[in-house]
Amino acid sequence: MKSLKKTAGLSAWQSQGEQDRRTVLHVDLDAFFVAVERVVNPSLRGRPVVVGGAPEERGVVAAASYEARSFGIHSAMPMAQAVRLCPDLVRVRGHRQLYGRASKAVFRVLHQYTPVVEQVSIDEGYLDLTGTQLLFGQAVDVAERIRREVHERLRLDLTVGLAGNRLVSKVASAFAKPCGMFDVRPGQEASFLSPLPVKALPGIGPVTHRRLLDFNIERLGTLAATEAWFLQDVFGSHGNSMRRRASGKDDTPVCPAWERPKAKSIGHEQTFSRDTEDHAFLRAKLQELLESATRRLRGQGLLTRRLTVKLRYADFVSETRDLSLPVPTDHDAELFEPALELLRRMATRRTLVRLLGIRLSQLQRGYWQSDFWNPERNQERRLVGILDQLREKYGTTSVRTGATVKLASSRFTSPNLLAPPPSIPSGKFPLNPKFLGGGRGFFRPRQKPDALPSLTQGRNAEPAWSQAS
Amino acid sequence: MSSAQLREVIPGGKADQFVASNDSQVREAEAREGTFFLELQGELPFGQEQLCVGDLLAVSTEADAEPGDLVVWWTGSPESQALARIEADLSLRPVEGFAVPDESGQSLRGLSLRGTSLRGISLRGVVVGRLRRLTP
Repeated sequence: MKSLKKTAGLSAWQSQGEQDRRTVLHVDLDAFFVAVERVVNPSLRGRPVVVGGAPEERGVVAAASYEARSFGIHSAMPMAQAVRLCPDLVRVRGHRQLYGRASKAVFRVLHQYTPVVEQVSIDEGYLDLTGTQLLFGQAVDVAERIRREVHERLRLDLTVGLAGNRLVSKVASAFAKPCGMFDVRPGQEASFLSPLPVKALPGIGPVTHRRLLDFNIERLGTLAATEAWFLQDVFGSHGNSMRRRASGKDDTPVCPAWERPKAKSIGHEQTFSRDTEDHAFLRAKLQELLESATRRLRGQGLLTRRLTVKLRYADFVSETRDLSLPVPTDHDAELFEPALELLRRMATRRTLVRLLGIRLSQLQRGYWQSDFWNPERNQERRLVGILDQLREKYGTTSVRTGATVKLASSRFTSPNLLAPPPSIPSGKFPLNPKFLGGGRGFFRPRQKPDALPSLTQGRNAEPAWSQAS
Repeated sequence: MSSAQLREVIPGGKADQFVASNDSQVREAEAREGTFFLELQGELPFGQEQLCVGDLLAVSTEADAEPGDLVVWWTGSPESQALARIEADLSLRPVEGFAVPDESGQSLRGLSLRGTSLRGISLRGVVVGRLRRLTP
């Protein structure tokens, strides 16, 4: 139910409290390459123009003007075919450096309105305008001002989508093309998407589209209303993500280049020298993997928002489970319990385990946020920093935490530390007495040397667009 | 006296490809499912509503209306429709420049708000977005 208190005193358009909502703008330059060519050569205006290689050189269309598109010409079409479709077609070879300069100039304008600008391609980007209202006014006014400024100063046209998240703003701008602005009312994201065809959703390619049509799922509203278990069965984890996105939910942040990590994920996994079913060993190994992965995170000044645990059985059947973290972190103690829970959910087969791995993804630049009300947590985190320094100076195995110390000893036996908590039905876990009884003979797995990156790696990275020329 | 009007239009551009049906018969498309577009015409006082003459309102016939939503309602005459906002007490408050719902039909309490009518007020749909063609 939407908040009613916030409706008082606000306009109908912003009745859902635009001020405290996230506001994301997706900007897309219309027929960008052609538009730049027309700025340089005004005689191209109003004519069917394409940018691309010559037909005799097996060239393809890189960009087409709207006049050319009315002939059925589109990008990636062979140039020879485009010329056949429109004999009066004007072909321009293209000037990539010029496009780069124009793009840089456009993004310089965008940066005047918010520092949170993510350039996703030469002619496309996202702006997070949340919290800029007091400086620049309503987001819709900002969108118009940006568009006017880009048109007057650079003579290029922008299409703008405005919504509460990236996904919907992207669909909205596709809706508004060419040279328009579509503003999705706050709270109406699902209703806006509902009647649209499934292929309108970014991330649904031709194969998934065909598969959805096989199941008579033609509209995003139908996709959003489809049972989660069904989509999970047919599409795997992608199914649930599609369902969530079809209802207009997306919490992906707008990530400017200075916040964007070079690596998309950091993963550590280890194949054991002997297959095992020892829960205590797996638990200790999990801790060790998390410690080394988070040390790499901290070294690069990154935080993770997604944790994946991977398990491979002796029969080579692999399973993965992942979860999103409520708060981005680089602290292994905050990841251990969720990771252990994922491992508990997976370890249901009466088969020896061959490999254990973890992966930290949805990385972002930033540093761990201390907690004013939880000094113990802050102390723990400081300790981790000190451990990092010790390990860097004396080697990765010089200091061990309690959970992993036995991995270094000659014998390793322990009670079953991975026993399910009381809230989880015991029927979901194997009744194999060996599992319940705990340890087997110890074997020392091969230690994988940690590749610790340079501390300066990534920190001095220049924003992507400042490097472009 | 209302000075602004809403007229059904076909949006043109890419939006056509997205709407459930881009037949010339907009009513047919609406009867099936989806979104239709209304253009704001006439004189619209410059107010808090941030609406401009020429804006195309995307109206969903499927969305459930809730307090705070901007809705399109039939004023009674066959071709006359107006914009209003649903208040917290489920009454309709007209948007400046549009017709005022009369007293007898003002309350929507107990109404399932999707495409139904009560005491003379019939909701046509919920405004989900606005398309503005940006002209220099």
